[in-house]
Amino acid sequence: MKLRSLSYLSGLLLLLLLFFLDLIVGSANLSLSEVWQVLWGQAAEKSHEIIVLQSRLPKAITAVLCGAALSVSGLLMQTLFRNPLAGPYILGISSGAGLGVALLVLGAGILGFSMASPFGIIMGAILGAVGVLLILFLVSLRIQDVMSLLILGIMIGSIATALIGLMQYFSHDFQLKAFLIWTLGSLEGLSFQQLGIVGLTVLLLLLWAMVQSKPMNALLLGEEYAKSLGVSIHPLRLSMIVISGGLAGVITAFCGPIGFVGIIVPHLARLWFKTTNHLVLLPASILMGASILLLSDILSHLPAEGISLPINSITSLIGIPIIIWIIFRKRSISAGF
Amino acid sequence: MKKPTLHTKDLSLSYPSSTEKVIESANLEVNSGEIVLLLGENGSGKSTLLRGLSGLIEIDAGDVFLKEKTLSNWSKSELAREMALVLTNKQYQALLQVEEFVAFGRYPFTNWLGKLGKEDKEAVEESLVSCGLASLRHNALSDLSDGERQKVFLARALAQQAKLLILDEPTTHLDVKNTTAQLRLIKRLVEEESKTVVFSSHQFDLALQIADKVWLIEGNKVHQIKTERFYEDCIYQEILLGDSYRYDKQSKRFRITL
Repeated sequence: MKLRSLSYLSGLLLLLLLFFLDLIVGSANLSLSEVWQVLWGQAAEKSHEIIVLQSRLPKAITAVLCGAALSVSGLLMQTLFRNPLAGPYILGISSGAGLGVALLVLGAGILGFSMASPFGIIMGAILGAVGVLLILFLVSLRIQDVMSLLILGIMIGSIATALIGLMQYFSHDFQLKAFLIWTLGSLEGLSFQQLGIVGLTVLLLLLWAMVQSKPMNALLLGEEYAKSLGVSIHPLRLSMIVISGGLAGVITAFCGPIGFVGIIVPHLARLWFKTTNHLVLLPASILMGASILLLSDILSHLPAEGISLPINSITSLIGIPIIIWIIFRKRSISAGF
Repeated sequence: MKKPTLHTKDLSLSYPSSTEKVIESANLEVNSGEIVLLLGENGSGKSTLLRGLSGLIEIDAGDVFLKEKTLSNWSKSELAREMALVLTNKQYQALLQVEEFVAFGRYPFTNWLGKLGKEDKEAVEESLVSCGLASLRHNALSDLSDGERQKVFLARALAQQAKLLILDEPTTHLDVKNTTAQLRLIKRLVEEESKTVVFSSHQFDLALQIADKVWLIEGNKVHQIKTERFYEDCIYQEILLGDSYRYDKQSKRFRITL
Protein backbone atom coordinates (compact mmCIF):
# COMPACT_ATOMS: atom_id res chain seq x y z
CA MET A 1 0.00 0.00 0.00
CA LYS A 2 2.81 2.33 0.91
CA LEU A 3 4.59 1.39 -2.30
CA ARG A 4 1.49 2.28 -4.26
CA SER A 5 1.23 5.78 -2.78
CA LEU A 6 4.90 6.21 -3.60
CA SER A 7 4.22 5.22 -7.21
CA TYR A 8 1.36 7.70 -7.40
CA LEU A 9 3.51 10.43 -5.88
CA SER A 10 6.41 9.85 -8.25
CA GLY A 11 3.98 9.72 -11.18
CA LEU A 12 2.49 13.02 -10.13
CA LEU A 13 5.90 14.66 -9.69
CA LEU A 14 6.98 13.44 -13.10
CA LEU A 15 3.80 14.86 -14.61
CA LEU A 16 4.38 18.28 -12.99
CA LEU A 17 8.00 18.34 -14.09
CA LEU A 18 7.11 17.51 -17.69
CA PHE A 19 4.28 20.03 -17.65
CA PHE A 20 6.70 22.75 -16.61
CA LEU A 21 9.31 21.65 -19.16
CA ASP A 22 6.62 21.71 -21.85
CA LEU A 23 6.03 25.38 -21.03
CA ILE A 24 9.71 26.15 -21.54
CA VAL A 25 10.28 24.54 -24.94
CA GLY A 26 8.74 26.08 -28.01
CA SER A 27 9.46 28.20 -31.05
CA ALA A 28 10.40 31.32 -29.09
CA ASN A 29 13.34 30.93 -26.77
CA LEU A 30 12.27 31.54 -23.18
CA SER A 31 14.41 30.76 -20.18
CA LEU A 32 13.29 28.79 -17.17
CA SER A 33 13.18 31.89 -14.99
CA GLU A 34 11.20 33.87 -17.54
CA VAL A 35 8.51 31.19 -17.66
CA TRP A 36 8.57 30.97 -13.87
CA GLN A 37 8.01 34.73 -13.63
CA VAL A 38 5.03 34.56 -15.97
CA LEU A 39 3.47 31.77 -13.92
CA TRP A 40 3.73 33.91 -10.78
CA GLY A 41 2.28 36.91 -12.59
CA GLN A 42 5.55 38.87 -12.66
CA ALA A 43 6.38 38.69 -16.33
CA ALA A 44 9.26 40.95 -17.39
CA GLU A 45 7.80 41.43 -20.86
CA LYS A 46 4.25 41.38 -22.13
CA SER A 47 5.30 39.13 -25.05
CA HIS A 48 6.48 36.45 -22.62
CA GLU A 49 3.10 36.48 -20.96
CA ILE A 50 1.33 36.13 -24.29
CA ILE A 51 3.54 33.26 -25.43
CA VAL A 52 3.25 31.30 -22.22
CA LEU A 53 -0.38 31.93 -21.34
CA GLN A 54 -1.97 32.13 -24.78
CA SER A 55 -0.01 29.48 -26.59
CA ARG A 56 2.00 27.15 -24.41
CA LEU A 57 -0.33 26.75 -21.45
CA PRO A 58 -3.30 25.69 -23.61
CA LYS A 59 -0.98 23.37 -25.52
CA ALA A 60 0.30 21.73 -22.32
CA ILE A 61 -3.23 21.38 -20.95
CA THR A 62 -4.31 19.86 -24.26
CA ALA A 63 -1.45 17.37 -23.99
CA VAL A 64 -2.55 16.37 -20.48
CA LEU A 65 -6.19 15.93 -21.51
CA CYS A 66 -5.23 14.11 -24.66
CA GLY A 67 -2.89 11.65 -22.94
CA ALA A 68 -5.32 10.97 -20.09
CA ALA A 69 -8.33 10.50 -22.38
CA LEU A 70 -6.64 8.23 -24.92
CA SER A 71 -5.01 6.07 -22.24
CA VAL A 72 -8.26 5.51 -20.35
CA SER A 73 -10.05 4.88 -23.63
CA GLY A 74 -7.48 2.22 -24.50
CA LEU A 75 -7.65 0.63 -21.04
CA LEU A 76 -11.42 0.22 -21.34
CA MET A 77 -11.16 -1.31 -24.80
CA GLN A 78 -8.50 -3.76 -23.62
CA THR A 79 -10.69 -4.81 -20.72
CA LEU A 80 -13.84 -5.06 -22.82
CA PHE A 81 -12.25 -7.13 -25.57
CA ARG A 82 -9.77 -8.95 -23.32
CA ASN A 83 -7.22 -8.07 -25.96
CA PRO A 84 -3.82 -6.53 -25.21
CA LEU A 85 -3.63 -4.84 -28.59
CA ALA A 86 -6.97 -3.10 -28.35
CA GLY A 87 -6.75 0.68 -28.22
CA PRO A 88 -8.97 3.74 -28.44
CA TYR A 89 -9.17 3.45 -32.22
CA ILE A 90 -9.86 -0.27 -32.44
CA LEU A 91 -13.55 0.28 -33.14
CA GLY A 92 -12.96 2.68 -35.99
CA ILE A 93 -13.51 5.94 -34.10
CA SER A 94 -10.51 7.67 -35.67
CA SER A 95 -11.35 6.42 -39.15
CA GLY A 96 -14.87 7.73 -38.63
CA ALA A 97 -13.54 11.10 -37.55
CA GLY A 98 -11.15 11.01 -40.52
CA LEU A 99 -14.03 10.29 -42.85
CA GLY A 100 -15.95 13.24 -41.41
CA VAL A 101 -12.99 15.53 -41.96
CA ALA A 102 -12.37 14.12 -45.42
CA LEU A 103 -16.01 14.63 -46.39
CA LEU A 104 -15.87 18.28 -45.36
CA VAL A 105 -12.38 19.10 -46.58
CA LEU A 106 -12.03 16.88 -49.64
CA GLY A 107 -15.67 16.17 -50.46
CA ALA A 108 -16.60 19.83 -50.42
CA GLY A 109 -13.54 20.54 -52.55
CA ILE A 110 -14.58 17.98 -55.15
CA LEU A 111 -18.00 19.64 -55.27
CA GLY A 112 -16.30 22.95 -55.85
CA PHE A 113 -16.33 24.86 -52.57
CA SER A 114 -13.97 24.94 -49.61
CA MET A 115 -14.66 24.10 -46.00
CA ALA A 116 -11.12 23.51 -44.84
CA SER A 117 -11.41 25.97 -41.93
CA PRO A 118 -10.32 24.81 -38.48
CA PHE A 119 -13.95 24.97 -37.36
CA GLY A 120 -15.08 22.91 -40.34
CA ILE A 121 -12.44 20.30 -39.59
CA ILE A 122 -13.47 20.00 -35.95
CA MET A 123 -17.15 19.72 -36.88
CA GLY A 124 -16.38 17.09 -39.50
CA ALA A 125 -14.34 15.05 -37.04
CA ILE A 126 -17.01 15.28 -34.34
CA LEU A 127 -19.75 14.21 -36.75
CA GLY A 128 -17.65 11.34 -38.05
CA ALA A 129 -16.68 10.07 -34.59
CA VAL A 130 -20.23 10.42 -33.23
CA GLY A 131 -21.56 8.66 -36.34
CA VAL A 132 -19.33 5.63 -35.82
CA LEU A 133 -20.07 5.64 -32.09
CA LEU A 134 -23.80 5.69 -32.80
CA ILE A 135 -23.57 2.77 -35.23
CA LEU A 136 -21.54 0.78 -32.68
CA PHE A 137 -24.00 1.64 -29.94
CA LEU A 138 -27.00 0.54 -31.98
CA VAL A 139 -25.27 -2.63 -33.12
CA SER A 140 -24.15 -3.57 -29.61
CA LEU A 141 -27.76 -3.29 -28.47
CA ARG A 142 -28.45 -6.29 -30.66
CA ILE A 143 -25.18 -8.22 -30.95
CA GLN A 144 -24.31 -10.15 -27.79
CA ASP A 145 -20.85 -11.32 -28.75
CA VAL A 146 -17.96 -8.89 -28.14
CA MET A 147 -15.77 -10.48 -30.76
CA SER A 148 -18.38 -9.90 -33.47
CA LEU A 149 -18.52 -6.31 -32.29
CA LEU A 150 -14.74 -6.01 -32.54
CA ILE A 151 -14.71 -7.35 -36.09
CA LEU A 152 -17.55 -5.03 -37.01
CA GLY A 153 -15.66 -2.03 -35.62
CA ILE A 154 -12.60 -2.93 -37.64
CA MET A 155 -14.79 -3.29 -40.75
CA ILE A 156 -16.36 0.13 -40.21
CA GLY A 157 -12.86 1.57 -39.89
CA SER A 158 -11.75 -0.12 -43.12
CA ILE A 159 -14.75 1.15 -45.05
CA ALA A 160 -14.10 4.68 -43.80
CA THR A 161 -10.45 4.41 -44.79
CA ALA A 162 -11.42 3.15 -48.25
CA LEU A 163 -13.83 6.04 -48.75
CA ILE A 164 -11.14 8.49 -47.62
CA GLY A 165 -8.79 6.96 -50.20
CA LEU A 166 -11.37 7.45 -52.95
CA MET A 167 -11.87 11.08 -52.04
CA GLN A 168 -8.13 11.69 -51.87
CA TYR A 169 -7.81 10.36 -55.39
CA PHE A 170 -10.20 12.99 -56.72
CA SER A 171 -8.90 15.90 -54.65
CA HIS A 172 -6.65 18.85 -55.33
CA ASP A 173 -3.22 19.23 -53.80
CA PHE A 174 -4.07 22.00 -51.37
CA GLN A 175 -7.11 20.11 -50.01
CA LEU A 176 -5.04 16.99 -49.67
CA LYS A 177 -2.49 18.92 -47.67
CA ALA A 178 -5.16 20.31 -45.34
CA PHE A 179 -6.43 16.79 -44.74
CA LEU A 180 -2.96 15.29 -44.31
CA ILE A 181 -2.05 17.93 -41.76
CA TRP A 182 -5.09 16.91 -39.73
CA THR A 183 -3.96 13.27 -39.80
CA LEU A 184 -0.58 14.28 -38.38
CA GLY A 185 -2.23 15.40 -35.18
CA SER A 186 -1.67 18.64 -33.35
CA LEU A 187 -1.91 19.79 -29.76
CA GLU A 188 -1.77 23.43 -30.74
CA GLY A 189 -4.33 26.02 -31.63
CA LEU A 190 -7.10 25.22 -29.19
CA SER A 191 -8.82 28.30 -27.78
CA PHE A 192 -9.64 28.42 -24.08
CA GLN A 193 -13.28 27.99 -24.98
CA GLN A 194 -12.56 24.83 -26.97
CA LEU A 195 -10.28 23.67 -24.19
CA GLY A 196 -13.19 24.11 -21.80
CA ILE A 197 -15.43 21.90 -23.92
CA VAL A 198 -12.77 19.20 -24.29
CA GLY A 199 -11.79 19.42 -20.62
CA LEU A 200 -15.33 19.13 -19.32
CA THR A 201 -16.21 16.22 -21.61
CA VAL A 202 -13.04 14.35 -20.75
CA LEU A 203 -13.47 14.98 -17.03
CA LEU A 204 -17.06 13.72 -17.00
CA LEU A 205 -16.21 10.61 -18.99
CA LEU A 206 -13.20 9.87 -16.75
CA LEU A 207 -15.40 10.16 -13.66
CA TRP A 208 -17.95 7.86 -15.26
CA ALA A 209 -15.17 5.35 -15.92
CA MET A 210 -14.00 5.56 -12.28
CA VAL A 211 -17.51 4.80 -11.05
CA GLN A 212 -17.52 1.66 -13.18
CA SER A 213 -14.24 0.32 -11.76
CA LYS A 214 -15.84 -2.41 -9.71
CA PRO A 215 -17.90 -4.07 -12.47
CA MET A 216 -14.98 -3.64 -14.89
CA ASN A 217 -12.80 -5.57 -12.47
CA ALA A 218 -15.37 -8.36 -12.36
CA LEU A 219 -15.37 -8.42 -16.15
CA LEU A 220 -11.74 -9.60 -15.99
CA LEU A 221 -13.05 -12.97 -14.73
CA GLY A 222 -14.95 -13.41 -17.97
CA GLU A 223 -18.51 -12.42 -18.76
CA GLU A 224 -20.13 -15.51 -17.26
CA TYR A 225 -18.46 -15.20 -13.87
CA ALA A 226 -19.17 -11.47 -13.88
CA LYS A 227 -22.82 -12.23 -14.54
CA SER A 228 -22.91 -14.79 -11.75
CA LEU A 229 -21.57 -12.13 -9.38
CA GLY A 230 -24.47 -9.85 -10.23
CA VAL A 231 -22.95 -7.63 -12.93
CA SER A 232 -25.41 -6.48 -15.58
CA ILE A 233 -23.19 -7.19 -18.56
CA HIS A 234 -25.13 -5.42 -21.23
CA PRO A 235 -25.44 -1.94 -19.68
CA LEU A 236 -21.81 -2.20 -18.58
CA ARG A 237 -20.66 -2.99 -22.10
CA LEU A 238 -22.70 -0.15 -23.57
CA SER A 239 -21.33 2.36 -21.10
CA MET A 240 -17.76 1.21 -21.74
CA ILE A 241 -18.24 1.74 -25.47
CA VAL A 242 -19.72 5.19 -24.91
CA ILE A 243 -16.97 6.26 -22.47
CA SER A 244 -14.15 4.91 -24.57
CA GLY A 245 -15.59 6.10 -27.88
CA GLY A 246 -16.47 9.49 -26.41
CA LEU A 247 -12.96 10.03 -25.06
CA ALA A 248 -11.30 8.98 -28.30
CA GLY A 249 -13.83 10.92 -30.36
CA VAL A 250 -13.50 14.26 -28.59
CA ILE A 251 -9.70 14.11 -28.64
CA THR A 252 -9.53 13.05 -32.28
CA ALA A 253 -11.95 15.80 -33.23
CA PHE A 254 -9.84 18.57 -31.70
CA CYS A 255 -6.31 17.17 -32.04
CA GLY A 256 -6.48 14.66 -34.86
CA PRO A 257 -5.61 10.99 -34.54
CA ILE A 258 -2.81 10.36 -32.05
CA GLY A 259 -1.47 6.86 -32.20
CA PHE A 260 -0.12 4.28 -29.77
CA VAL A 261 -0.54 6.21 -26.51
CA GLY A 262 -3.84 4.47 -25.85
CA ILE A 263 -2.43 1.00 -26.45
CA ILE A 264 0.80 1.34 -24.49
CA VAL A 265 -0.10 3.31 -21.41
CA PRO A 266 -2.45 0.69 -19.91
CA HIS A 267 0.37 -1.86 -20.20
CA LEU A 268 2.85 0.49 -18.55
CA ALA A 269 0.34 1.14 -15.78
CA ARG A 270 -0.16 -2.60 -15.19
CA LEU A 271 3.60 -3.14 -15.15
CA TRP A 272 4.38 -0.26 -12.85
CA PHE A 273 1.54 -0.72 -10.38
CA LYS A 274 1.52 -4.54 -10.69
CA THR A 275 -2.23 -4.83 -10.58
CA THR A 276 -5.26 -5.30 -12.77
CA ASN A 277 -7.56 -3.35 -10.45
CA HIS A 278 -9.20 -0.55 -12.44
CA LEU A 279 -9.52 1.59 -9.36
CA VAL A 280 -5.69 1.81 -9.47
CA LEU A 281 -5.15 1.47 -13.21
CA LEU A 282 -7.46 4.36 -14.13
CA PRO A 283 -5.63 7.08 -12.17
CA ALA A 284 -2.32 5.45 -13.09
CA SER A 285 -3.21 5.53 -16.79
CA ILE A 286 -4.27 9.16 -16.49
CA LEU A 287 -0.94 10.14 -14.89
CA MET A 288 1.22 8.13 -17.27
CA GLY A 289 -0.76 8.99 -20.39
CA ALA A 290 -0.56 12.70 -19.66
CA SER A 291 3.18 12.41 -18.99
CA ILE A 292 3.88 10.56 -22.22
CA LEU A 293 1.99 13.09 -24.30
CA LEU A 294 3.84 15.97 -22.60
CA LEU A 295 7.12 14.19 -23.26
CA SER A 296 6.15 13.66 -26.89
CA ASP A 297 5.30 17.33 -27.23
CA ILE A 298 8.62 18.39 -25.68
CA LEU A 299 10.49 16.08 -28.06
CA SER A 300 8.55 17.40 -31.04
CA HIS A 301 9.96 20.87 -30.31
CA LEU A 302 13.54 19.82 -29.61
CA PRO A 303 15.14 19.21 -33.03
CA ALA A 304 15.30 22.83 -34.12
CA GLU A 305 14.05 26.18 -33.00
CA GLY A 306 10.93 27.38 -34.70
CA ILE A 307 9.59 24.06 -35.91
CA SER A 308 7.50 21.39 -34.24
CA LEU A 309 7.33 17.88 -35.60
CA PRO A 310 3.93 16.21 -36.06
CA ILE A 311 2.83 14.82 -32.69
CA ASN A 312 1.29 11.67 -34.18
CA SER A 313 4.70 10.60 -35.53
CA ILE A 314 6.41 11.30 -32.22
CA THR A 315 3.95 9.26 -30.17
CA SER A 316 4.38 6.38 -32.60
CA LEU A 317 8.17 6.70 -32.49
CA ILE A 318 8.11 6.60 -28.69
CA GLY A 319 5.29 4.11 -28.50
CA ILE A 320 6.44 1.34 -30.76
CA PRO A 321 9.81 0.76 -29.00
CA ILE A 322 7.93 0.63 -25.69
CA ILE A 323 5.59 -2.07 -27.02
CA ILE A 324 8.56 -4.04 -28.32
CA TRP A 325 10.31 -3.64 -24.99
CA ILE A 326 7.25 -4.92 -23.13
CA ILE A 327 7.02 -7.95 -25.42
CA PHE A 328 10.68 -8.81 -24.93
CA ARG A 329 10.68 -8.18 -21.22
CA LYS A 330 7.59 -10.17 -20.51
CA ARG A 331 8.03 -12.65 -23.37
CA SER A 332 4.38 -12.15 -24.08
CA ILE A 333 2.32 -8.99 -24.08
CA SER A 334 -0.79 -10.95 -23.25
CA ALA A 335 0.53 -12.06 -19.87
CA GLY A 336 -1.63 -9.37 -18.34
CA PHE A 337 -4.73 -11.06 -19.65
CA MET B 1 -43.56 -31.42 2.52
CA LYS B 2 -40.09 -29.96 2.21
CA LYS B 3 -39.75 -27.21 -0.33
CA PRO B 4 -36.97 -27.75 -2.85
CA THR B 5 -34.09 -25.27 -3.01
CA LEU B 6 -34.00 -25.47 -6.77
CA HIS B 7 -36.40 -27.14 -9.15
CA THR B 8 -37.26 -27.05 -12.81
CA LYS B 9 -40.56 -27.40 -14.58
CA ASP B 10 -40.50 -28.77 -18.14
CA LEU B 11 -37.15 -27.10 -18.70
CA SER B 12 -35.90 -27.06 -22.30
CA LEU B 13 -32.52 -25.70 -23.32
CA SER B 14 -30.53 -25.40 -26.51
CA TYR B 15 -27.03 -24.28 -27.39
CA PRO B 16 -26.69 -20.61 -28.19
CA SER B 17 -27.35 -19.91 -31.89
CA SER B 18 -28.99 -23.26 -32.50
CA THR B 19 -32.55 -24.48 -32.24
CA GLU B 20 -31.73 -28.10 -31.56
CA LYS B 21 -32.89 -29.03 -28.07
CA VAL B 22 -30.08 -30.22 -25.83
CA ILE B 23 -32.35 -30.72 -22.86
CA GLU B 24 -36.08 -31.21 -23.23
CA SER B 25 -38.83 -31.03 -20.59
CA ALA B 26 -36.60 -31.72 -17.63
CA ASN B 27 -38.32 -31.87 -14.25
CA LEU B 28 -35.59 -31.85 -11.65
CA GLU B 29 -35.42 -31.08 -7.98
CA VAL B 30 -32.70 -30.32 -5.47
CA ASN B 31 -33.55 -30.14 -1.81
CA SER B 32 -31.67 -28.16 0.75
CA GLY B 33 -28.65 -30.08 2.01
CA GLU B 34 -28.53 -32.44 -0.93
CA ILE B 35 -25.61 -33.25 -3.20
CA VAL B 36 -26.64 -33.88 -6.79
CA LEU B 37 -24.19 -35.41 -9.24
CA LEU B 38 -24.80 -34.62 -12.89
CA LEU B 39 -23.58 -37.35 -15.21
CA GLY B 40 -23.53 -37.66 -18.96
CA GLU B 41 -21.20 -38.28 -21.86
CA ASN B 42 -19.00 -35.61 -23.37
CA GLY B 43 -21.18 -33.18 -25.27
CA SER B 44 -24.40 -34.47 -23.69
CA GLY B 45 -25.28 -31.02 -22.38
CA LYS B 46 -24.09 -31.06 -18.77
CA SER B 47 -22.62 -27.58 -18.96
CA THR B 48 -25.64 -26.29 -20.82
CA LEU B 49 -27.95 -27.65 -18.13
CA LEU B 50 -25.84 -26.09 -15.36
CA ARG B 51 -25.75 -22.76 -17.22
CA GLY B 52 -29.51 -22.91 -17.62
CA LEU B 53 -29.98 -23.62 -13.93
CA SER B 54 -27.80 -20.69 -12.97
CA GLY B 55 -29.45 -18.22 -15.31
CA LEU B 56 -26.43 -17.68 -17.54
CA ILE B 57 -28.25 -18.65 -20.72
CA GLU B 58 -31.75 -18.08 -22.00
CA ILE B 59 -34.27 -20.80 -21.34
CA ASP B 60 -36.16 -22.14 -24.36
CA ALA B 61 -39.21 -23.31 -22.50
CA GLY B 62 -40.28 -24.16 -18.97
CA ASP B 63 -38.92 -22.58 -15.83
CA VAL B 64 -36.23 -22.77 -13.21
CA PHE B 65 -37.32 -22.01 -9.66
CA LEU B 66 -34.97 -21.01 -6.89
CA LYS B 67 -36.80 -21.22 -3.57
CA GLU B 68 -40.16 -21.30 -5.38
CA LYS B 69 -39.40 -18.10 -7.28
CA THR B 70 -38.53 -18.20 -10.99
CA LEU B 71 -34.95 -17.19 -11.73
CA SER B 72 -36.04 -14.22 -13.82
CA ASN B 73 -37.80 -12.76 -10.79
CA TRP B 74 -34.59 -12.65 -8.78
CA SER B 75 -32.56 -9.48 -9.00
CA LYS B 76 -29.00 -10.07 -10.15
CA SER B 77 -27.42 -9.09 -6.86
CA GLU B 78 -29.87 -11.16 -4.79
CA LEU B 79 -29.20 -14.15 -6.98
CA ALA B 80 -25.44 -13.73 -6.52
CA ARG B 81 -25.92 -14.10 -2.77
CA GLU B 82 -27.95 -17.31 -3.19
CA MET B 83 -25.95 -19.14 -5.84
CA ALA B 84 -22.23 -19.42 -6.61
CA LEU B 85 -20.66 -21.04 -9.65
CA VAL B 86 -17.55 -22.81 -10.82
CA LEU B 87 -17.53 -23.03 -14.61
CA THR B 88 -15.45 -25.06 -17.04
CA ASN B 89 -14.56 -21.89 -18.87
CA LYS B 90 -11.22 -21.17 -17.22
CA GLN B 91 -10.30 -17.70 -18.33
CA TYR B 92 -8.23 -15.91 -15.79
CA GLN B 93 -6.10 -12.84 -15.45
CA ALA B 94 -2.53 -13.99 -15.12
CA LEU B 95 -1.50 -11.03 -12.97
CA LEU B 96 -4.14 -11.67 -10.32
CA GLN B 97 -2.99 -13.13 -7.04
CA VAL B 98 -4.86 -16.03 -5.49
CA GLU B 99 -6.18 -13.91 -2.65
CA GLU B 100 -7.37 -11.14 -4.99
CA PHE B 101 -9.09 -13.67 -7.21
CA VAL B 102 -10.88 -15.31 -4.29
CA ALA B 103 -11.90 -11.87 -3.04
CA PHE B 104 -13.95 -11.43 -6.22
CA GLY B 105 -16.42 -13.74 -4.51
CA ARG B 106 -17.24 -10.83 -2.22
CA TYR B 107 -18.43 -8.72 -5.14
CA PRO B 108 -22.15 -8.89 -4.24
CA PHE B 109 -21.42 -7.70 -0.70
CA THR B 110 -18.97 -4.83 -1.15
CA ASN B 111 -19.71 -1.15 -1.76
CA TRP B 112 -19.40 0.57 -5.14
CA LEU B 113 -15.64 0.82 -4.80
CA GLY B 114 -15.39 -2.88 -4.06
CA LYS B 115 -13.63 -2.23 -0.76
CA LEU B 116 -13.37 -5.32 1.44
CA GLY B 117 -14.74 -4.97 4.95
CA LYS B 118 -13.87 -7.06 7.99
CA GLU B 119 -16.51 -9.69 7.23
CA ASP B 120 -15.39 -9.89 3.63
CA LYS B 121 -11.79 -10.48 4.64
CA GLU B 122 -12.87 -13.19 7.06
CA ALA B 123 -14.90 -14.93 4.36
CA VAL B 124 -11.95 -14.84 1.97
CA GLU B 125 -9.60 -16.15 4.65
CA GLU B 126 -12.00 -18.94 5.55
CA SER B 127 -12.38 -20.17 2.00
CA LEU B 128 -8.63 -19.97 1.38
CA VAL B 129 -8.05 -22.18 4.40
CA SER B 130 -10.89 -24.59 3.51
CA CYS B 131 -9.41 -25.16 0.08
CA GLY B 132 -5.88 -25.51 1.38
CA LEU B 133 -4.65 -22.40 -0.38
CA ALA B 134 -3.45 -20.33 2.57
CA SER B 135 0.20 -20.77 1.66
CA LEU B 136 -0.38 -19.84 -1.99
CA ARG B 137 -2.31 -16.65 -1.32
CA HIS B 138 0.24 -14.29 -2.85
CA ASN B 139 1.03 -16.41 -5.89
CA ALA B 140 -0.09 -15.16 -9.27
CA LEU B 141 -2.69 -17.35 -10.93
CA SER B 142 -0.32 -17.97 -13.84
CA ASP B 143 2.24 -19.52 -11.46
CA LEU B 144 -0.14 -22.23 -10.26
CA SER B 145 -0.64 -25.72 -11.60
CA ASP B 146 -3.97 -26.55 -13.25
CA GLY B 147 -4.97 -28.48 -10.17
CA GLU B 148 -4.15 -25.65 -7.79
CA ARG B 149 -6.04 -23.23 -9.99
CA GLN B 150 -9.04 -25.54 -9.86
CA LYS B 151 -9.04 -25.17 -6.08
CA VAL B 152 -8.80 -21.40 -6.44
CA PHE B 153 -11.95 -21.39 -8.57
CA LEU B 154 -13.80 -23.33 -5.88
CA ALA B 155 -12.45 -21.00 -3.19
CA ARG B 156 -13.78 -17.99 -5.06
CA ALA B 157 -17.23 -19.58 -5.19
CA LEU B 158 -17.06 -20.38 -1.47
CA ALA B 159 -16.15 -16.79 -0.63
CA GLN B 160 -19.49 -15.81 -2.11
CA GLN B 161 -21.08 -17.58 0.88
CA ALA B 162 -24.06 -18.68 -1.17
CA LYS B 163 -26.10 -21.64 0.05
CA LEU B 164 -26.35 -23.20 -3.38
CA LEU B 165 -23.19 -24.18 -5.23
CA ILE B 166 -23.30 -25.11 -8.90
CA LEU B 167 -19.99 -26.66 -9.86
CA ASP B 168 -19.15 -27.67 -13.41
CA GLU B 169 -16.44 -30.32 -13.19
CA PRO B 170 -14.76 -29.07 -10.01
CA THR B 171 -12.40 -32.07 -10.06
CA THR B 172 -10.88 -31.77 -13.54
CA HIS B 173 -7.09 -31.51 -13.54
CA LEU B 174 -6.93 -32.90 -10.00
CA ASP B 175 -5.04 -36.08 -9.13
CA VAL B 176 -6.73 -38.76 -7.02
CA LYS B 177 -5.51 -37.29 -3.77
CA ASN B 178 -6.75 -33.83 -4.60
CA THR B 179 -9.97 -35.10 -6.17
CA THR B 180 -10.90 -36.96 -3.01
CA ALA B 181 -9.90 -33.94 -0.92
CA GLN B 182 -12.11 -31.72 -3.06
CA LEU B 183 -15.04 -34.16 -2.82
CA ARG B 184 -14.57 -34.43 0.93
CA LEU B 185 -14.60 -30.67 1.16
CA ILE B 186 -17.90 -30.58 -0.77
CA LYS B 187 -19.38 -33.18 1.60
CA ARG B 188 -18.14 -31.27 4.63
CA LEU B 189 -19.59 -28.01 3.34
CA VAL B 190 -22.98 -29.66 2.98
CA GLU B 191 -22.87 -31.23 6.42
CA GLU B 192 -21.36 -28.39 8.42
CA GLU B 193 -22.53 -25.32 6.59
CA SER B 194 -25.79 -26.72 5.21
CA LYS B 195 -24.84 -25.97 1.63
CA THR B 196 -26.61 -27.52 -1.32
CA VAL B 197 -24.49 -28.69 -4.24
CA VAL B 198 -25.12 -29.59 -7.85
CA PHE B 199 -21.97 -30.73 -9.60
CA SER B 200 -20.80 -32.59 -12.67
CA SER B 201 -17.78 -34.84 -12.84
CA HIS B 202 -16.24 -37.42 -15.09
CA GLN B 203 -14.68 -39.18 -12.11
CA PHE B 204 -18.11 -40.65 -11.48
CA ASP B 205 -17.00 -43.58 -9.31
CA LEU B 206 -15.46 -41.23 -6.76
CA ALA B 207 -18.11 -38.56 -7.10
CA LEU B 208 -20.96 -41.06 -6.61
CA GLN B 209 -19.66 -41.73 -3.11
CA ILE B 210 -20.75 -38.34 -1.87
CA ALA B 211 -23.87 -37.89 -4.03
CA ASP B 212 -27.42 -38.26 -2.72
CA LYS B 213 -28.95 -38.08 -6.14
CA VAL B 214 -27.89 -38.52 -9.73
CA TRP B 215 -29.06 -36.61 -12.76
CA LEU B 216 -28.21 -38.69 -15.79
CA ILE B 217 -28.47 -37.24 -19.27
CA GLU B 218 -29.64 -39.61 -21.98
CA GLY B 219 -30.20 -37.96 -25.35
CA ASN B 220 -32.10 -34.81 -24.43
CA LYS B 221 -33.80 -36.38 -21.40
CA VAL B 222 -32.54 -36.13 -17.85
CA HIS B 223 -33.17 -39.03 -15.47
CA GLN B 224 -33.37 -38.13 -11.81
CA ILE B 225 -32.54 -41.10 -9.61
CA LYS B 226 -31.31 -41.90 -6.13
CA THR B 227 -27.62 -42.79 -6.07
CA GLU B 228 -28.44 -46.36 -4.96
CA ARG B 229 -30.54 -46.85 -8.06
CA PHE B 230 -27.52 -46.06 -10.21
CA TYR B 231 -25.56 -48.80 -8.47
CA GLU B 232 -28.41 -51.29 -8.67
CA ASP B 233 -29.82 -50.71 -12.11
CA CYS B 234 -27.81 -51.76 -15.13
CA ILE B 235 -30.01 -49.65 -17.42
CA TYR B 236 -28.59 -46.46 -15.97
CA GLN B 237 -25.02 -47.72 -16.00
CA GLU B 238 -25.48 -48.66 -19.64
CA ILE B 239 -26.40 -45.06 -20.49
CA LEU B 240 -23.27 -43.62 -18.97
CA LEU B 241 -20.78 -46.44 -19.38
CA GLY B 242 -21.86 -48.45 -22.41
CA ASP B 243 -21.51 -52.20 -22.03
CA SER B 244 -17.92 -52.50 -20.99
CA TYR B 245 -18.01 -51.19 -17.41
CA ARG B 246 -20.37 -52.33 -14.67
CA TYR B 247 -20.83 -52.09 -10.93
CA ASP B 248 -20.08 -55.35 -9.27
CA LYS B 249 -22.25 -55.70 -6.17
CA GLN B 250 -20.06 -58.36 -4.59
CA SER B 251 -16.81 -56.46 -4.69
CA LYS B 252 -18.61 -53.09 -4.47
CA ARG B 253 -16.67 -51.54 -7.29
CA PHE B 254 -16.89 -50.80 -10.96
CA ARG B 255 -15.23 -53.43 -13.10
CA ILE B 256 -14.49 -53.83 -16.77
CA THR B 257 -16.76 -56.55 -18.17
CA LEU B 258 -14.61 -59.15 -19.84
